[in-house]
Amino acid sequence: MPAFFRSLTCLCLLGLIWPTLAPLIVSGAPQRIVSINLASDELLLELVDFQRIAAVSRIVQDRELSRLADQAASLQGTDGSLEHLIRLQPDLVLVSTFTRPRTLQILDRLGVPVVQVPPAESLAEARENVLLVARALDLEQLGYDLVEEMDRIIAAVTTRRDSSPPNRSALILGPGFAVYGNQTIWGDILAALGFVSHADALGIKDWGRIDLETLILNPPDILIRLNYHRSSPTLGSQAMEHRALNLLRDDIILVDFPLALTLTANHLTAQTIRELDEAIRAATTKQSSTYDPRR
Amino acid sequence: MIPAGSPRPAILWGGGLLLLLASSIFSLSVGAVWLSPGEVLRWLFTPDEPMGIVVRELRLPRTVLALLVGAGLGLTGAALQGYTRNPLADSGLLGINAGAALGAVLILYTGLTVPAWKTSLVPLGGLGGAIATTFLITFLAGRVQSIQTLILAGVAVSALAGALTSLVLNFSTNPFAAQEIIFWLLGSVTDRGWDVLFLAFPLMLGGAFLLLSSGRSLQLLALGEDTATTMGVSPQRLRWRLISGSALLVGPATAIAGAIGFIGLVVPHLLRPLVGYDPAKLLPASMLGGALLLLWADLLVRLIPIDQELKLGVVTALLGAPFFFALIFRLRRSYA
Repeated sequence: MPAFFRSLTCLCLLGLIWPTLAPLIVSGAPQRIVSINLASDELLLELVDFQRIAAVSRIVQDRELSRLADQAASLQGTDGSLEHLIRLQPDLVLVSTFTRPRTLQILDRLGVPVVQVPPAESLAEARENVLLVARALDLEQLGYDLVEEMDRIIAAVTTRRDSSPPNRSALILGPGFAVYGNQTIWGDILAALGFVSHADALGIKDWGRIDLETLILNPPDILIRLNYHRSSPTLGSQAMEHRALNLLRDDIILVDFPLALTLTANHLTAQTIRELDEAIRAATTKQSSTYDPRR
Repeated sequence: MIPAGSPRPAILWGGGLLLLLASSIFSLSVGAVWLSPGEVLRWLFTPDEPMGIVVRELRLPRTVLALLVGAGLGLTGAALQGYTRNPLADSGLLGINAGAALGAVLILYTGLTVPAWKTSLVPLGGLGGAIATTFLITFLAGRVQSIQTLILAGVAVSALAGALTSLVLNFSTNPFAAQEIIFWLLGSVTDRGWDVLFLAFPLMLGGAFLLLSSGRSLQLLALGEDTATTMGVSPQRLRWRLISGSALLVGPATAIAGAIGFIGLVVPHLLRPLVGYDPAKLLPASMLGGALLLLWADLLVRLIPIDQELKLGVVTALLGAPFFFALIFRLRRSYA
């Protein structure tokens, strides 16, 4: 075939496939993304097509720990071990700031780009993380859209709350009687819901544990119990469903909320705020004190 | 041998029971808010107020549980030391504690439950683990079942149960469940309810009856196995009674309160001289001593001012270890 026609054929073929290839070649967007951090797992599932996800952490596939477990079920799960990461041949790895330094060292030596997503202790930091991950995935505009959606949901809750009684105190009680204060994301969540954090009254600014006696003698107006494994009792749920607490039902509003909906601070925190608002309203009107939007 | 008509046993028992009562009232007084004995009495009969709820639903079951578990562990230790004639014998040595812990951990890990029951099956899991351990020890010890093979079997089963418990933790994908199991294994009587007590109490009562009724046989066994046999003691029947009784006592106790060691080891040693080295009298005395020791350990847990809750099993271990150092030095002096 004369050289002219060969060149023309190549050009035509290139013209056919260029619209598909161009965004990938020009932007260098990662195609084999691995995430080993629950917060970035959930962001990843929201932002990219599954074909671009090489693996997510096994935690996001656990229904007791993540609200996106069903969506993540079809993906490859990883325990984050170095060997498995290397075998996955990622071109981007999303990790937390608690990832082992050795893992980061080896990935760096192999030339694998790594993005460290710090834990968010406020809604502002949660928004920053959304944009951080979106930029790493070359989807910045989608990140801004997500942040806008977050703000819209929170604004709707804030507008609704104006009709509720003011200055009510609320306490978040996690497994093992863990209590979360204003210096965690819960500070912003409770503020968005219109509550004063009762952890302050207990002298807990960040994170701590309390005993049942302290809780009973100094109860909040609203007690939000975070629970996992609702299908059967656990040590933690038994203690949190202690008769002593249930005897206070006339004095405080008890709300049971799935732990899985609260473990990460990212774009889904806005949904958590909305769901908590619904749960508290239902408990206040005595419709139900156990809330799980996944049912 | 204490001379007949000596007032010493009455004084010892009277003093012990008085100490038990005083310690129990003190236990009800101690907490986030200190109460006087009069206030304790008032709040016991005012259940609707928050302080009444605290005293009746938190401090009282805590105190009762500490006494019950301590009594059970003390009694089991005394019975097994009397049977094996080994001062290091207790339910831990025979693997019963480890088996009970494994049974409870399996229930916690699998979430096995009866839907109609609100209460967890953990106490029954502990009992199941203790009973399974009992059968395994008996099988391993074989037909002859000398005391040495029994102890060896116990050590082997204890190691196996401990390894399997670690395996369950290893496979736990839920970090909250794993943390709960780890903290539970350290031992605690904090924030337990009446429901688990009501589940465990009949089982432990049965176990206590089996062990307390073995006093006479243990006295005869102290004269030697052959002598005891000629005097009507059946070693096989006694062994079954002691191991079953220990399983009924230790299984639910471990399941509710976690792994609490050293009570069954230390208490009989401390009280043996006071009861004239009589294995039969040592049984009820060790119940009282075990109840007191565990209650005092729990008081220490509440009185030591630290942010994180100090676990009961840690305190008993820290108290028990120096005891054994002292025992070793005493033995070295006696050999020298």
